[in-house]
Amino acid sequence: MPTEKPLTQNIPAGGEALSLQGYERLGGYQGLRRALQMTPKQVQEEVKTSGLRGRGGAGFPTGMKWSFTPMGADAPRPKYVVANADEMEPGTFKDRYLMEGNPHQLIEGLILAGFAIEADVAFIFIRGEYKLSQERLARAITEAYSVGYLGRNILSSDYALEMYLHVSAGRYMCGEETGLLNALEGKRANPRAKPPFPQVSGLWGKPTIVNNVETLSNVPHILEKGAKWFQGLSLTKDAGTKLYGASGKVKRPGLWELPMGTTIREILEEHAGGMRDGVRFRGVLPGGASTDFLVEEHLDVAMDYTSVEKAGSRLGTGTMIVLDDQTCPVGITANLTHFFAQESCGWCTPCWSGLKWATKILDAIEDGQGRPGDLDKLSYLSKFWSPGHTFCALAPGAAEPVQSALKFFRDDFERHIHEKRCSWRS
Amino acid sequence: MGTIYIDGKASGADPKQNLLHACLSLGLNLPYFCWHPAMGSVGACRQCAVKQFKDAQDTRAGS
Repeated sequence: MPTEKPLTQNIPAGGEALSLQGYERLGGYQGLRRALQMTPKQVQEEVKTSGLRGRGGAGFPTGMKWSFTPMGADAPRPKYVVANADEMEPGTFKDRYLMEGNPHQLIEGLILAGFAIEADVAFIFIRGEYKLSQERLARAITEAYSVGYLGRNILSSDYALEMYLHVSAGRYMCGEETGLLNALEGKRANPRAKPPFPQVSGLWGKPTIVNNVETLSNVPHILEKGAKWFQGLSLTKDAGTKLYGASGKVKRPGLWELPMGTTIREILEEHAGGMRDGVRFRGVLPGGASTDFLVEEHLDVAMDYTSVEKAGSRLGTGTMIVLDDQTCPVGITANLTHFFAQESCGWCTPCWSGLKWATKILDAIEDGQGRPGDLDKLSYLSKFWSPGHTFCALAPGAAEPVQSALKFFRDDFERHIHEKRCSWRS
Repeated sequence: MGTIYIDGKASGADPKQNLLHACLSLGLNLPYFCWHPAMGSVGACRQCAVKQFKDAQDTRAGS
């Protein structure tokens, strides 16, 4: 049996977006029709049973997130649903593919999330640089209004939802749930203290659900084909399919929708075609820049939330960055830390000050000016980036490549300091 | 009115205040940066962060 690829199998090969008619012909908006015959609580239950977990990086169970929203006549109004389309994790390009190729899939998923929590208003918060996605989503939203999937009395039901496309002014922080909400309110994208969680007090203090694009794109299929079917797509306990990507010096960098739990080896060797001739595999950031390096001994780890965590990293966005033996591990770590230091919003001191400090140490080591004790200083600094020391996950994410590089590539760091040069530079 | 002990000395403090506010009100010179009476407790700079113990018997550093 060919593997099912519900998220991507209907995306046209030529780079065009799937049209509304094409989407409907292939089962589009059937999930919505089915959901409108159910109660919002039943829709929440269906998604909870399916085992869908957030595809943005943290992997929180989607149905459970929805279930924290106050429901019924006494709930505060208006309630909001937000699609987090601020895809900015280095090495990650999966949401863009879904939005450019099948915008109606995301819109239907967002309507379904809205119905499940009785939301009144929906926003798609999209990265400023994603121009083509913006054009295609804007057109698709207009189409959805014109045929009665949005607005009042959706498909002749009592349910009403307004949908807006909001183009982000930029910065990595806007992808953090509460930073996103501040940005949407027109404020600086600093994180908020939690609790209260957005499900209870989010946008303008009202109940708000924020979900990633890939997460929402799964929802129409779950409602159309059922939770059992969704569970069956996976090879492991974490349900569904997953968009996996690979970048770096592999033969065929790209993006593939595969059963959840496909191994790193299969993705890199079969789908990405292995390493380019003349270079050897040294390590991989399995889910974007903010995940711990894994190395050769981890190649048979299944790419699902549980297994990658057990191996000492995180599934993150599922888009891998491959490190080869012709690339300096100190250089890549310095580069990534520069990104995080630059993108720090300036709110918490361990982040804005500590990351900047770490970039200075890493640059010095790479430039041959590292000193004995620098590695201890880096470990000391990275302790203050661990969860609980800062308001959001930016600093804990930044700590992951640093702490794991120190673990797996320590010899390279020490050689830089000892030889006072980077041996990858001529 | 609650009682707080600082360097072995007991002082009265309003339990509704946060610890930094209470200590500053007692005239103690504590380092702080992001706190301001008009802005409340921000908690972002981490300068006044403290370790919290469960009770008098708790000897592990609490989180």
